[in-house]
Amino acid sequence: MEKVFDYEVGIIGAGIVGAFTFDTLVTNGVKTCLCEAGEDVSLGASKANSAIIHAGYDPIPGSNMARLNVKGNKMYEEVAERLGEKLLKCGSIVVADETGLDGIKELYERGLANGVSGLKILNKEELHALEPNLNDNLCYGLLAKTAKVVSPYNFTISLCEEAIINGGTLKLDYPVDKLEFKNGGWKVSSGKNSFTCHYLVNCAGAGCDKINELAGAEKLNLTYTLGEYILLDKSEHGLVNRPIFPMPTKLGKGILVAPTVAGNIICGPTAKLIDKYSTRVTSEGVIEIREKTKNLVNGIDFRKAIKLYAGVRVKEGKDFILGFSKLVPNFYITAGICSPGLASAPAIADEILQNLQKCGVKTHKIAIKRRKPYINTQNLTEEEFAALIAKNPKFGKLICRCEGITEGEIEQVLKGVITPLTVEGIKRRLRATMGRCQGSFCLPMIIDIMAKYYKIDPSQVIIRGKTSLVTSRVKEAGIYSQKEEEEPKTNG
Amino acid sequence: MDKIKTEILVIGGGASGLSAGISATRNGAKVIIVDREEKLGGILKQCIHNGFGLKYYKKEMTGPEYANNLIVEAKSLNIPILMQTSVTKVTKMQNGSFKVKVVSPNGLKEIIAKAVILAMGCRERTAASISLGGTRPVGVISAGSAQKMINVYGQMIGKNVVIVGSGDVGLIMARRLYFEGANVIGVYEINSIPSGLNRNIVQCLNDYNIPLHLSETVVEVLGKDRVSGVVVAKVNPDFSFDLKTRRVIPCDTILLSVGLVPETDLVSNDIVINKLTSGAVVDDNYQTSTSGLFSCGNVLHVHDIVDDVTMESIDAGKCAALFVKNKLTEGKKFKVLTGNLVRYSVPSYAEGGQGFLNVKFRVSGVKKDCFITARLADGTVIAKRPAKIVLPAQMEQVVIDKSKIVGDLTISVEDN
Ligand SMILES: Cc1cc2nc3c(=O)[nH]c(=O)nc-3n(C[C@H](O)[C@H](O)[C@H](O)COP(=O)(O)OP(=O)(O)OC[C@H]3O[C@@H](n4cnc5c(N)ncnc54)[C@H](O)[C@@H]3O)c2cc1C
Ligand SMILES: Cc1cc2nc3c(=O)[nH]c(=O)nc-3n(C[C@H](O)[C@H](O)[C@H](O)COP(=O)(O)OP(=O)(O)OC[C@H]3O[C@@H](n4cnc5c(N)ncnc54)[C@H](O)[C@@H]3O)c2cc1C
Repeated sequence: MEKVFDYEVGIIGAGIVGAFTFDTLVTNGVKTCLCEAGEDVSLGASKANSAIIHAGYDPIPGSNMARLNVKGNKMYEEVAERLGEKLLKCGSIVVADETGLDGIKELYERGLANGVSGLKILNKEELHALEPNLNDNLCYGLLAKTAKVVSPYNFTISLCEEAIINGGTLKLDYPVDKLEFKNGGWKVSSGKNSFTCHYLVNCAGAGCDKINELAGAEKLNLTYTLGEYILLDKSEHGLVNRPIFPMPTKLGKGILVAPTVAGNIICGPTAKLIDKYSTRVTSEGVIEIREKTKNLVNGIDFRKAIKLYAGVRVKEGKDFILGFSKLVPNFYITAGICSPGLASAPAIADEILQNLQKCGVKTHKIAIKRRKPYINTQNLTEEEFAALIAKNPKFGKLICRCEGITEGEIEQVLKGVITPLTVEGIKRRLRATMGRCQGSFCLPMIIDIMAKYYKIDPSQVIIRGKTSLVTSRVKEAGIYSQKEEEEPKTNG
Repeated sequence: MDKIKTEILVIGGGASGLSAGISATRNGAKVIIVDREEKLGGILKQCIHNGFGLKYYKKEMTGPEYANNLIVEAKSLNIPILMQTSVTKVTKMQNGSFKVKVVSPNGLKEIIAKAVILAMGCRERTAASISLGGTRPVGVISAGSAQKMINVYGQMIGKNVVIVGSGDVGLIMARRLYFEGANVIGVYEINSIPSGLNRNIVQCLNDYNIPLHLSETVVEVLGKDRVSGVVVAKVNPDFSFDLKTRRVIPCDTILLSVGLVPETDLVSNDIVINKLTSGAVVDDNYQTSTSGLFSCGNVLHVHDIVDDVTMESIDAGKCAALFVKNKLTEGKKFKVLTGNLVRYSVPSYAEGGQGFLNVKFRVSGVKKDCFITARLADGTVIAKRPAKIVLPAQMEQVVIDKSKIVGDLTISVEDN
């Protein structure tokens, strides 16, 4: 008799890799459960990175990175279209000064070896015609036409939503703390809860070593490289038209200046080896970004900085580690998924599907139920916008003035496929509080809307994790109680 | 789409918009005021402390009381007011009028106006604008948001609070938090002098033994989920941090009071912006570089006291009313330049003629027993007044007899 598991495949970790794997398996008819430690999806490396779907000229030919990056890049457009996610087909440029032509040529050759199309070496004129704000010392460029920019966390959210709509199961707040191989499958536990699955995929990002350990699989030696960023206001839109990279070094792709899908500019990331996972932004990092970007782009106005943030690249050796464990059965490892992990994620997921098929997992392409993208009133025509307000006046009530987000949009997200229980969940889905005032106008209103919607006290409205902004009062209004304290109290 | 026509559209129903709307109406113009919030009064709604109105109403009031005076006056003049109405776009048309797009729960509207008065107020600077690094835990909040949370929504936001920056809103909030039972650990100011008014230092900090640390600032935020502390360090005269003096101060909340910026974003691509104020460049009629587009109040430059906002906006409203009646005389404009110790001045252009010109400015450093002057290019003094002390924290004014303005003039702080 065939053994019965709750799911055919279990996935641990809802970053971009877990999300693509989830969606790929579900849309191929595999009963799948994705579990995630956090209160929402995309809380790890997939929420704080450069958001670039690299072309693939950088990785060493023959590596996992090279193969999967180039393949993943080609897959993104179709997925974006299907999910209704934004994708900037802007290309990217690596720039070099007069001494850098050899380096540019080397990258070009490596790109060809990796099978990257759309590469072109630019001379000074061509370079500055494409990017008028580049530093005058820059003389050569490698244009990679296939590079793209996306919103990595929105992609992760949309992929998970599509998978759920098509029958997948997502378990949030599910930090896996125990793994047992029983009856030919895995029991995946988190505290008192557990489920069983025939195959298990480790997509736990910075937690992949711990998951391997719980499973009794290969020991992983992770290193952590901090990447800090400065994000500039949308007023700086157009400073560069595509990601501008310096020549890559052993440390990584270097500090870049790039547009985001929302129209902001990011400067970063730094690359600092740290011994413990932490996304702390250092003042040295901020200074380094300011100094290094000067060599790339003229006139960056750092007074227009609206946010400092950081992500951590989790590495294990020089390449992605992918494949079935050799020590325990039915256990697939994805580890050391640093850059270009975002670009490679759809291809990693595709390989996982193929490998599972080889093991006998039965698949069939399903007719995918499309996810309905959230309404963004900023993208509507006047007629559509007016009709929407007529139907629901809350779509005419502006809450986040910087990003133009209305109460109606916030409510639709609260009713979404994955209900965001935190203010930051709303922020990632809609960009509310992400603009130039960083929520100083709308945060109190959003807390109020959430308290009313969930019928809870504002002190229970979570900003992130399990933490709220509103605290209980230390004591009743101070001046009055102070007076009371002055009068000696008689106890009966 | 609904179309509405008016002579003057005022964007913003705070102290500035109300004052300008009232003044324009009194000067015979047909006015509409729009504001995105549910209630009129702008930022005054959340300023429940007193100290408002001494200069203009000669009477001490709270913020809401001050606003109410203006609201009652606007209502008595039957000025049409559209609430929960946000302006999303202002376009100048071929015929000189403005097409203004608004959105509200009632739908989209287009307002056609001969003149527009910008009175959108300001926003607060953020942690990134002072490059505040560290982790990003819950509990870092701007002073104005904290004020709104406590005074409008009745919600407390922390127990052990460190305040970064000594702006007025931060000082007021230090006292407010104290009243609400919080432990206000201290105010850290990067400069060697406070950036808020002296009366607020005395009444909000000293009276409650809240320490003010000058030349010391927060260099890093600590904490994973909620703020667990800050790292502070002394600041050298060249504004570098003296890292030897670093120390950790445990706290759960960080209030930022690090400056205000005019909210000009709606029009910043269409008009000339003063880089120093972030507000519009205006002439002595409060007209921006676009004819018929006026600006006043905190969207023009940040004011310390609301009375000055009202007086400025009354002038601007009058000029806009004259404009729509084609009665605004526009002679040759001369430049108003900044001289010794003057960081910025408003307006940037002025003409000669009758009456008086009131130039507002801020200084870049402290000076005692000095003179404020306005001189023509050849050195002729056309206005001069003594000042006991000038401070960056305090907006200064100098009044000039317009008949003496016959060329570009420079505002300076001088020894004698
Ligand atoms: C600074 C920086 C810049 C980058 N720029 C780019 C770029 O431009 N282009 C590009 O292609 N790539 C880039 N990358 C790489 C890319 O961000 C990562 O490769 C990718 O996000 C990794 O995704 P992931 O799903 O493997 O991991 P993550 O996004 O970290 O997701 C792992 C998830 O697993 C969960 N988890 C961990 N432990 C457990 C547990 N025990 N139980 C349950 N859940 C658990 C975590 O909560 C997390 O949500 C960059 C990375 C960094 C840090
Ligand atoms: C937080 C804070 C605290 C202050 N505390 C004091 C104090 O204690 N004492 C004192 O004397 N002064 C104080 N001031 C100084 C200030 O000068 C005055 O209080 C004055 O109220 C500012 O008036 P305003 O009309 O220019 O701006 P606001 O009061 O900000 O009014 C602007 C209005 O415009 C609306 N608006 C903006 N954009 C749009 C749009 N696109 N469409 C529609 N409506 C729009 C806003 O909703 C708002 O209602 C404070 C200022 C701030 C910011």
